[in-house]
Amino acid sequence: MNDMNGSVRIVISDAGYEVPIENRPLWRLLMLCLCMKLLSSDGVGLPTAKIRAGSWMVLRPARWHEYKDFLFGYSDESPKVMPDSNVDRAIQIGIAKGYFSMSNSGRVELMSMGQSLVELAEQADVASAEREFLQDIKSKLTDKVVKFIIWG
Amino acid sequence: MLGLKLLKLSINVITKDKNFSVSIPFNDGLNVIRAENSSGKSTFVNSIAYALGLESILGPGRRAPFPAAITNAIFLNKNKNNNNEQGFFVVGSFVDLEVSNKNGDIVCLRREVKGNPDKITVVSKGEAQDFFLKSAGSVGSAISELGFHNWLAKFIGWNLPMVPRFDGSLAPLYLECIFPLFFIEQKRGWSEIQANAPLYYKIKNLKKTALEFCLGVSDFSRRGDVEKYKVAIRQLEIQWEGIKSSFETLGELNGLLVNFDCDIDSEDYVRLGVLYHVSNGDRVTVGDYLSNLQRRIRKIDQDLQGWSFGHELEAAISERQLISEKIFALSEKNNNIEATSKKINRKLVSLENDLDRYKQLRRLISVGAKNGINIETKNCPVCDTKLQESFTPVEDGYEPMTIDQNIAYLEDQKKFYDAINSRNNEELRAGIVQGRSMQSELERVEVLIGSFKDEERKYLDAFGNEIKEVAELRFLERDFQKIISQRDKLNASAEVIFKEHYLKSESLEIAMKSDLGGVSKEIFDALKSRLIANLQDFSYKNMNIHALDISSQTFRPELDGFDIVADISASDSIRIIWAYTLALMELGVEFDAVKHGGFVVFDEPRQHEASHESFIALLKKSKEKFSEKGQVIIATSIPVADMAVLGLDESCLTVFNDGEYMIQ
Repeated sequence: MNDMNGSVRIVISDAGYEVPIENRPLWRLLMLCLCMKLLSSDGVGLPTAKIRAGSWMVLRPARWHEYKDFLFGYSDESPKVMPDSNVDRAIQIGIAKGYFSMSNSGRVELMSMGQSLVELAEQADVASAEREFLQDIKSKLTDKVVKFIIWG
Repeated sequence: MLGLKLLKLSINVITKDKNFSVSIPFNDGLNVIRAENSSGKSTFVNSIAYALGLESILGPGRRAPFPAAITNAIFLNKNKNNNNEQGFFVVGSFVDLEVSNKNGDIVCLRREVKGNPDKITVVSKGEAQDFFLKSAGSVGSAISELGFHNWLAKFIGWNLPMVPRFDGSLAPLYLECIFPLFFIEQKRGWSEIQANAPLYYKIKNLKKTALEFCLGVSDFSRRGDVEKYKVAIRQLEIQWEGIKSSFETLGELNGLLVNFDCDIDSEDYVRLGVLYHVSNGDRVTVGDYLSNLQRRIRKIDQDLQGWSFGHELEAAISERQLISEKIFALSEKNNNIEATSKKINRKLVSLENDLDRYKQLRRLISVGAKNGINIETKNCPVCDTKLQESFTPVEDGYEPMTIDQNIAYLEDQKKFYDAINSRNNEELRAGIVQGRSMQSELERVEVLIGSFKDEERKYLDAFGNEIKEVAELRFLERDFQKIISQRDKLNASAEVIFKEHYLKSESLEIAMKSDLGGVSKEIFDALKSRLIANLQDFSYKNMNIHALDISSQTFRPELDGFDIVADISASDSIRIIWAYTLALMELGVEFDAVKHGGFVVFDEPRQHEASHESFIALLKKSKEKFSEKGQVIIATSIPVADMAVLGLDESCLTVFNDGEYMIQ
């Protein structure tokens, strides 16, 4: 803060640093679980590419309308999905904690812990907007579209 | 002042078996050498020039003036048809000339003909010294201390001036340039005065300069002043014409009449150009025309009723400008606030979204705990190290906020941005209100300006013609002020040129007088009177002898401004050369300032059948005039039988009979 003499007084706080919600591991795990639950046809598992695309979009509510415009054919502007190492970390943690498992075909599948987390969220009315968004795009975010979004 | 006195000339030829020579002493006054043609008479007199290193004055060939008898072989028999004669082959030959100067110093000059002709040995009081001729390297004999002509000039007592060449450089006035005035050789010398002046030195006005030197001019430093002033005057005249031309152009461009009141040669400067405006045949000067214009403008100005709202209109226009600027500034400010508000709103949306989700996360954990489900992860299930509640990588020792802390932090942020937003909105509302107020103020001023403009239109309807006329008259006034300014500048320039021209003309007049006066008036007049007297004595036949004059430009005889030689008979031309050449020596006797060689040489002066009486008069005059000072050396081939008629005593006569060579 500037005082009248132009010098600077430094205040050291004991508080921790702020964390964006998408970087909270639990929130990230919840979003991955929701993706696997709501974007898969069987409600169980997804290829990692679709998890990446789905989680990228669901974590950015400010851009949901743009993503929908593209997926529903109102815009040619494809979502720009970038590599996000936190997805990999979240999958690793999720698998270790028993939320997911990795199938032989390379799909990440929701385990009972994951199912419980999804149900708990429904029960607590948590992430209802995200669930609604994922349900809206489910039919449009096909493997082909995912491939286009990620690899062009 | 006479420079030299010739005492004796001898030509000597050395052969294996016999030496040959001729030696003739010279008296004061007249010396006549009579010999028939081809007996060595011209060779003898030309040897005077040779002994003085001046053979170049004998003609453009610049060769030694000697026949084969002096350089190759001597034949005793003059009959060329006698081919049986064995000649005497020349092994050496030289010329000795004994001379004295005005101080009475006597020297003998020896120059070899066959041998080394490029040096002259000067024997003085028994001591001999060699001097070179022509040039030694880049230094000529007129300049070098060891050069013969340098020595000779000093011996005579002449200081040879440096004079301009055609290329602007300076050169000494060589002795070869001066002596053609005194030495009239047979072949070319009688064609005109100074016939053998050496033009190859490229000295400017050579003949005139030589004459000026002879007639007493010692300072040649002002040479060229006349030309310089003439050039300057010509330049000024060109500038004067240029100004006149500018006047004419000025008049033509503006439809004005131009009169010139003054010429560059006028006695006094009044003014050069006068410009007139002509209308319906009447003409008035541009100055008067301008005065009339200005009177008319004043009259109309007085008649016009002034429009009283001019200042109010100007004030209203200024106010409108001020309000417009304020509105613009306010609009900019409001736009900035709006832009900031948009950004803050976006931030608020993001904050609210984060806050909402954090609250959901807290609820999820809380509901999970109630249901006995632990969904929190304290340690990494993969590596069992402490797992921070954030994927954001930070340095060790820093902890992320807990979920509750983060919610509190987000709520605080939201409050902060809400407060800013609220303040911005307040400010924007105030700005909009202020803008409306300004807009209505602007409208009020616009109405005011409109009403003033209406008033102005009414005024213009009433007085438009007068206002238009005044505007046109003011344009004309400005035009004529410019014209008059240009006129004055041109006249001022003309006055400067006029004065400069006057000064230069005076200087030219003085320079022209002093040009003559390098030659004194007394000497100049004496030259003319001696010339006319001599011509009268020599029975000059041509027209009125009193129309003859000496040119102040060339110092040569002229008749009605023309060189006289061009317009007279051949015999009169010879008489003029006699008369002029003798007149110069008369001046040399009479005036100390006049620099004369001290002798004249006439080789065969009875050219073109100049009458017997004239020739006798020449001899008589030469004998009488120069009985004490000055020498006239005449080589002639008149018949021996006619000699008696000349009435000459033997003391001044050297006669070689027909059939004999002079050198024996």
